[in-house]
Amino acid sequence: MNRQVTLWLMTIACIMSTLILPVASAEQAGDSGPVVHNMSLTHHDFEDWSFTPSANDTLAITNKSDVAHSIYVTYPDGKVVNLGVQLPGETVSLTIPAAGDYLLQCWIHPVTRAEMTVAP
Amino acid sequence: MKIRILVMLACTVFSVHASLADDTIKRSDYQRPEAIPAPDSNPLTIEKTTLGKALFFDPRLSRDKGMSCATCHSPDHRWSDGRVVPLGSEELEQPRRTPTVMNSAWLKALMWDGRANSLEAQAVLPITTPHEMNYNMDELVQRLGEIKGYRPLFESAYGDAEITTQRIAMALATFQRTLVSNVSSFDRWVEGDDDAISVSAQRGFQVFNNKAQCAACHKSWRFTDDSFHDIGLDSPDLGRGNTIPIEVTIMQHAFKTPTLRDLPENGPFMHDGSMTNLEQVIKHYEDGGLKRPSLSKEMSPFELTEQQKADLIAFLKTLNGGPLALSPPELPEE
Repeated sequence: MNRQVTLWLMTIACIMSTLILPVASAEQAGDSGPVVHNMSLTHHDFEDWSFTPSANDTLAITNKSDVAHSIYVTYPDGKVVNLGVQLPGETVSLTIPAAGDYLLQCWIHPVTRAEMTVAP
Repeated sequence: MKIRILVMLACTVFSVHASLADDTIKRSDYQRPEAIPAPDSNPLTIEKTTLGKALFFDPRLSRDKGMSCATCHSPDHRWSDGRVVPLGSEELEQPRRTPTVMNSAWLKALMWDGRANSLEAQAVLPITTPHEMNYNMDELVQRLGEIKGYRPLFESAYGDAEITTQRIAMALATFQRTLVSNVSSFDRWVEGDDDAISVSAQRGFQVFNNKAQCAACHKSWRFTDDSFHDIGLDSPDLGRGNTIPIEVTIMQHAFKTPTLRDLPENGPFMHDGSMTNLEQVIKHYEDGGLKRPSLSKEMSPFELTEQQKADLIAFLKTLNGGPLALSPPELPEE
């Protein structure tokens, strides 16, 4: 009986920790090549990130809000790239072509914006 | 066995507690801000507000001296005009209803299609639009310079009597920033007065946030996300799609989410003024709008009971803070 209870409690603890612990922006390190950086959209904001991306790295942006977003990225040379409509839970990706200052915005929600500097 | 029951009980208590906490969070999501925001480049001052008020109500800002800002943004009509088609827009192919200017201090994008990004930028648009005030700023600066009564107002506001387009826009923007909804019964409920709104309105608040999902777009104390959505109205107007690249399908027929505070009793509602009562509005959202590629992903059909509709409307009426205590100014003399 005690063993059963222990299993019960462990199961509940696992579920609770999954629900409660924040999922931080993570940097998936490679040996020396391009890296995939995970980012999140929460409500109308990009969640803060701590990584410094380099050219040829990939941004994987997951929509953790409960509304759709439509992110577009303005490159340092002014080129605009649309990442398409992104439903809650979906992830879109962008491979960063070069170093410089990038601007991430949402067509639907103008308040959703972030500036990102990419290292060479 | 007893321990398992205790664990289940604990889970149940946690679940109920979480539900109550969720309700509390949602109330606080609608809390009013403490101060009116203003850009560093144009801080709020009493002197600029006084000047802006005079300009706002002065028909001499229009070419024929027949229309002021207040003609269409009237204090008698919740700072709108109560008209389906705005004055002067009768001949336009796709006229848009006059939005209120209340609570505009917090707007991130102005006009139905968001083509102005600040109140200062927006202020000159109606003055120079041909079917509205039909004037130009150079001539207006000259005309105001000839009105003696404006000199002391500009001097108080800016330190000298020079009149410029920028100063006119800054004063108009400043006055509009002071037009803030009165505290409503809903605000008192948010602040903790549980009896401030009826039980029906409280149920309506739940419908608003849950089954009807109105809060997906009508967020915050102003009940708008300051964002753009195609809600599936049968209108050819492309809205924000007129200025956004054509490949961004989701912006076709998209318009800015309007506030739900201080709604006029009989509308008109929607960007095209096509609805005259809240029952019609709710029916539109229940049906889910016109199915087309640009339709907002937040538009999902649902069905409310008659009681839920009545509750939702009761809730929306609690957002009414009543008319602002503000009377038109005496206009500066020639």
